[in-house]
Amino acid sequence: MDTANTDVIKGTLDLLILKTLQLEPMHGFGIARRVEQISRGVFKVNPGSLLTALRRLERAGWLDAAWSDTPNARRAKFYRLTRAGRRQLELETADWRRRSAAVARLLKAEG
Amino acid sequence: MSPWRQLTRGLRALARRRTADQEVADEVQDYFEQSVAAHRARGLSPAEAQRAVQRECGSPDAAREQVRAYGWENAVESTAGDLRFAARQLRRNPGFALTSVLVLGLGVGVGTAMFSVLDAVLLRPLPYSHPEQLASLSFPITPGDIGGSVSGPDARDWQRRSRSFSQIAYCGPNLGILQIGGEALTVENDGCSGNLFSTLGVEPALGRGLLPSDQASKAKVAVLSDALWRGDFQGRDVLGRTAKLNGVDYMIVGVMPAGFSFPYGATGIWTPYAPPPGEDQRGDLMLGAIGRLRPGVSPARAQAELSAVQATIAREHASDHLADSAVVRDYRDSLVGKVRPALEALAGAVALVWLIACVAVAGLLLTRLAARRRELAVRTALGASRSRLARQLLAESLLLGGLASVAGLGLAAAALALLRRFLVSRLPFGMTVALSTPVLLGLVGLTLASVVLVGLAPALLAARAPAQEGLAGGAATPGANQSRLRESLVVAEIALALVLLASAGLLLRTLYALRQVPLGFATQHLVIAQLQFPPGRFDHQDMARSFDRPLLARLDALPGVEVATITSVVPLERGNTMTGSFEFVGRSVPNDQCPQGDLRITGPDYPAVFGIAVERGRFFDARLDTPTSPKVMVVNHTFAARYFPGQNPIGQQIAFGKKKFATIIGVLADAHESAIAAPPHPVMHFDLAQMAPSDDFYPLATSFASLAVRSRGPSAGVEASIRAALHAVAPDIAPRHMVPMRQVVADAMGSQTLAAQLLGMFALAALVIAVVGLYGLLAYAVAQRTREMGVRMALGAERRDIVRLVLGRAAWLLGLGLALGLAAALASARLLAAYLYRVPARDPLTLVAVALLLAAAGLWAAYLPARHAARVSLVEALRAE
Repeated sequence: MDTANTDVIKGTLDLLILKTLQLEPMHGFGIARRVEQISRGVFKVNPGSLLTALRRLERAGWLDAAWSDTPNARRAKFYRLTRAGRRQLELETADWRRRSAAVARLLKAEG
Repeated sequence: MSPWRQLTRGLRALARRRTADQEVADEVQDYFEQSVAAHRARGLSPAEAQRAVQRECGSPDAAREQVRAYGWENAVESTAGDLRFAARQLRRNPGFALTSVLVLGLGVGVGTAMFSVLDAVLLRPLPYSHPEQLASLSFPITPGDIGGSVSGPDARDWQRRSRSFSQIAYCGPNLGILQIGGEALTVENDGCSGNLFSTLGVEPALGRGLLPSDQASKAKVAVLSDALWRGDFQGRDVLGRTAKLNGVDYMIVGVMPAGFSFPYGATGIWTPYAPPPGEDQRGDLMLGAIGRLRPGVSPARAQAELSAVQATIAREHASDHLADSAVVRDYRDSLVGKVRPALEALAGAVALVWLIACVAVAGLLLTRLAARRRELAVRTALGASRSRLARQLLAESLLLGGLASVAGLGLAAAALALLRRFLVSRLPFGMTVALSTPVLLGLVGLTLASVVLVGLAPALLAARAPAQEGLAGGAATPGANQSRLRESLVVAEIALALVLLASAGLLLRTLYALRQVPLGFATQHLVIAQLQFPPGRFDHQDMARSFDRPLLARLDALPGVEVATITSVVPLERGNTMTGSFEFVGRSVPNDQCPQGDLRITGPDYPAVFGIAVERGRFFDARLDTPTSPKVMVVNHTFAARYFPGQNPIGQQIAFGKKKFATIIGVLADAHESAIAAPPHPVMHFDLAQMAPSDDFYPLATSFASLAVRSRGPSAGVEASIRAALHAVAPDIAPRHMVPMRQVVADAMGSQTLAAQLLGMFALAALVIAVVGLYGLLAYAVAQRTREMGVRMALGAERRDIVRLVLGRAAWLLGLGLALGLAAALASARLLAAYLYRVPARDPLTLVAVALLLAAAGLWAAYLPARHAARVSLVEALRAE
């Protein structure tokens, strides 16, 4: 197969969103673009899934959302990490490190 | 997670759906616009940018739907939508809705009432600690014996010698008179062993309970029930105060918690068991014993052990002729064992009624589904998912179930009022039967079960049916098995309805016959007050002189009172009946013909108060009959006819023991005094005015009596006057009950009235269910066979033939059901025989009448679909394909 799998791995979308919002509040499209840029196009985000995930994270209390103006004078819904969200990010980061390290060790061993 | 946020945001979205939707739409639109702008910034033309975004992100509509579908509020909303749709469907079809709700409501309501009884009697734990360890201890019950009673020495020996019980307590239930302020009040006063409360494992709410030391030292201490404390003592600080009980001062040392009762009702006062001197012998079987089994000991093992102990006791006291074994029963079983089989049978019948009600409604739903095939098929073709259709049909059943549970609640309340009266007279203590929380939960559970039972089959059918078939309108004929099953159910419903209708009819005829019996006494404007005297109250003063005469004089002087009297037992009063045997003076009677009569001790004016004629001689007269004049008696007609046939009974003498005799001075006309349905017993009245403390019958006269007062008009204010007169003459004597004489008569018909009402209710339910079941079945068949009808008409069949076709089927089913029902009614007739009076259990008139009623109702139910079938126009029927 020559087309690399660019769908966001199931279950990592939350982590990517939280990580992206760690630096500054952002709107939905901004988050998608940032995820694509930083992953050099490995991850592509579908707007339906992204906005649903944002809604879910907001309900969970990890994000706060508010409409405000963008730098180029548009109104957009901005998402901001809450304190609970930061804690969740730490948890998920640690969890991800542990799992990816385990997978890496496994691959090396199979060599 | 933040459940609070989930809840509030969801609710906000529900409350302002449009705003919430708009916000999602705005956000999605913003996303796509920014996406396009970003592509344009990289140098693409507007059209190219649009295409690129479409390739990467899909359609904005799909994204919007995906985001909107998130959140629990969506499930609520679609369910609400389904329910609204279902409500519209039901409103469009009010006949169907009403019938289904009625039938389901009958099933659910009757079931709920039954469940609340089972809950109170068999399921709810008794108000004691570890009630499963408690057992009642008694001697073997011989036939004809009330049973259950032991003596103090027995119970104490058992406690000392038995190994199976950690404790054995005993209690002598009795009535006492409590004086609070100036008022006298009849209460349950139980004299109990000092270890009773510790055996039951219940701590008092206030103060202390009774202690073994109280019993040993014969302390005059008392513990109040919560109801007595809150009610008659108004929750005052009572600890350490004295209460006058049976004329003796007791110190109140404790109050039991709410809900505690032992052994009977909840309004009691407990005092240490203190028998009168010489009355605590082995022969005095007057106490109930209860023991706490040691952990792991079963009642059966305890019984074996206790029987061995009792055998030893019986040998040691051979002269007392004691039983040589004992019976140990689970305590709850000993209380409710007698009603358990009846309740379980009733519960079975009720479950059956519920089940056939559900089946009948399921049949109706299937019929309606058949009529809606095309609609459902169109909606499937337009893209409605099958699960969505099934959900909608279930929503309809849910709505029906909800309405039915409301109807059922009303029915359950009515049925409970009946059942409560039935149980109060049959249960040994005040188990409260009421619509409680577990019962309401039971109602909800039953409703949901009904919904599933009723709605599942149609929902599954709708989900499975292929769209093409429905669109083609082809009547997919139901499988032969399915229709055979439904037909047998309908036949069973008809048979059951016939049995119940026949039973209800027989009981109605019995009630009618009972009402026609001339009672022989008048009940109008007559009030009965049962009196309770403190033990020993009249031991040292002449009752007639100090109580009876002043009280009657005071009552007679009241303007509203016509005449009043006192008698030991009023006609048709239950309990308290005393039978005496006697000999004739100067006449020897063969041994096998031991003469007996019902014993009454009666004041003057008895014939006037009860409207009973004096046939011969005279009744008692205060001027002629005094304690010092010769003893006299008055008998009834039956007595005179049986023992002095063809002779004049006046002047004859009757002996009770040696040298004690009375002379008959009068004969009263017969009245139905012992039972409405039985011929009168021989009755002997002795004169209350002649009762001196030395008299043999004096203890009888001074333990209980009833005051009978005939007022001049409707007896509205009479009860207050009786209380006032009683209070003035003897403030320490309380009336136990005050009831109109009519009520006494009605209570004597109580078991027949209740059985008639219960069976009537069931019969009505069964009739409605059978009719609905038959209608549903035929209507379904007609809906399925529309084309066949059309073809028949096209081939020249008359409308008459079509009607005959449908009615023929109905007649066959009805005939089969009626035949089976008649057979069952004849077979089960014996069960009812004990309740019937002047009606044979296999009364042909009743059977024919109810069969005709059922047949008429069934044919009416069949006529509706038949008429519908005949009205189908030829064109319509053939185009239906």
